[in-house]
Amino acid sequence: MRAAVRSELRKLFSTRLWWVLALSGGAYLAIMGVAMAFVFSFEAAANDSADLGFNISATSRGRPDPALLTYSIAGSMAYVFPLLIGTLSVTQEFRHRTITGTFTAEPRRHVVLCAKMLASLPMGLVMGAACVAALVSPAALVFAGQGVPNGLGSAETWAFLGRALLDFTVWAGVGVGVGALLRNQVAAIVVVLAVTQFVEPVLRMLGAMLDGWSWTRFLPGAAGDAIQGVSVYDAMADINSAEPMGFGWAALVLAAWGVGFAAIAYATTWRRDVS
Amino acid sequence: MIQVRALSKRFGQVNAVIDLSFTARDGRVTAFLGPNGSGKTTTLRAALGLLKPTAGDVLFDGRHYQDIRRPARQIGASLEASSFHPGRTALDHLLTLAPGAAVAEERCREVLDLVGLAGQANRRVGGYSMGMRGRLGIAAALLGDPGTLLLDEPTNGLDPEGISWMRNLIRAMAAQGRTVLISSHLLGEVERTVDDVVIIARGQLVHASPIADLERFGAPTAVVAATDPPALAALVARAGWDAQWGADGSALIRGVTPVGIGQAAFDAGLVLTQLASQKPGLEQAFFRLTEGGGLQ
Ligand SMILES: Nc1ncnc2c1ncn2[C@@H]1O[C@H](COP(=O)(O)OP(=O)(O)O)[C@@H](O)[C@H]1O
Ligand SMILES: [Mg+2]
Repeated sequence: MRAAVRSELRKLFSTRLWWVLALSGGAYLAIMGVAMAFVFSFEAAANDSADLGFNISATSRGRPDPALLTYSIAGSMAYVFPLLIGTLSVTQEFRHRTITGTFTAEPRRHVVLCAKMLASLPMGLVMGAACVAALVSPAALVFAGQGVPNGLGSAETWAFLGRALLDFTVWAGVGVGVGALLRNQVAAIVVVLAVTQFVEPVLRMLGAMLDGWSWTRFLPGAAGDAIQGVSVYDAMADINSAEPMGFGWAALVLAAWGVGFAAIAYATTWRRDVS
Repeated sequence: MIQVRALSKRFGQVNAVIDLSFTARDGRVTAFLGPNGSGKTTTLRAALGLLKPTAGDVLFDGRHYQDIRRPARQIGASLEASSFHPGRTALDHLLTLAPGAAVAEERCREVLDLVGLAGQANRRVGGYSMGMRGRLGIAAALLGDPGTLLLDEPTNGLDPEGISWMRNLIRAMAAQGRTVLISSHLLGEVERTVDDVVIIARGQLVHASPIADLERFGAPTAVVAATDPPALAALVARAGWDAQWGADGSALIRGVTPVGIGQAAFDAGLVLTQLASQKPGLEQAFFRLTEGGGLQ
């Protein structure tokens, strides 16, 4: 297993894909973060102690914390990047037919699948670190410049950022499950984008508004946000009364999605002929 | 030793391999020959556990591939020239395989040097030619210094210099006591390299023997000339023989024994000035054995 994990790590880090995705995710977050920081700063300045129209922190349910809300887009908007690196790490093998070499080097196919999943975790962490740094540093400067507390002095913020890294890490593993299930690269990209950018957001918005839809908090994106503990979705509505999951449970729920996808893949297509 | 035992593989309606059995022995180079689509790659993939056989199995020194731990240290395989990620360099490609073969970067550089790619180690494989990819595939197969080599069409895409390099490499490997199985659809490319031949057509075994025994399977060929060339031409036409005419009026006739030609000439009242049996070529034996055995 150790050899297989090392092999998968080298595969992940030896093509341009990971840093292209990390760069895209970082750039996207940096721009969004700066924009949000300005908006919050101006609003905060305009009506100092007034309600911002958001009901922010899912953990404290207290006054909005603009900094934390801004930083929360790391997990809730950019999780598609670690998800994609995990997914592509599998689909590329089928696309370029390198899966032949992979299964020849390690004929025990369950070992290959586990190794891919394990190797994706440090990759998710690295991408998370890059994305969070790209988001937080400029946004924190903007807050500081506008005289709004940027939270970097508080342990709560750092704990939050740590949970965001955990979120990225688990998402990469989920990606491996998705890739193993779909195998076809184009199909996988389309499904990942459709689900993360449309299907799940719609379900979660409905979940936030409709009674009896609290199951939507077990959706992967919702679980991912619950790992962070703060998200724009929670802030958008008055939030169903459901008590938020602890981040440990949330991480388990998200991990279960990844393991579930991988298990279905293993039971169905993973052991098929490769030619 | 590689033992293919009653191997069959079916893809839907296509019987790609049918009840195939043969053995590749240690210290010898075995050529696995057959026209395109005859089932060579399918057999090799089944041997490596990539395909599940419909029936039968393949053993490497008595064990199934799937049961061998760190298989790269015992069996080196190169299946397709195109199975590389185009964005990865040759060295990085080998480094991804290195943990499985339990070797370090030094060995990766060593095999790159061995296949003549040392200068290209840090180039992305996407820019490689067919021949260079073939060499990289061989380098990957050699990485774990395995006692058994399985090479699928290793001469594809190689230039003449590359083919001769490949021959020497294969001979050297067998001389060290390794088992080498190479597939090819061209006997001519391997006939000077191999010890044994296994020939398949339409997924079935048609011949297995040391290469020297293959010649017997060529069609009989004879050179014939007569005092009266037009009468000889008329006889050839009447008999429907496959003939090639020389400038001197002699004919190279394939598929008929000298006895048959002599008898027919005698019956026709021809005086022959020449009737000589010719050694049939290996390539011809190969064609004859696999006639029509290609793509289904
Ligand atoms: N995955 C597959 N699905 C369906 N048919 C296949 C598959 N792989 C090979 N075949 C068929 O099996 C036969 C043997 O193919 P192959 O083993 O690749 O031949 P060779 O390597 O001798 O050229 C061919 O008719 C080919 O079309
Ligand atoms: Mg083939």
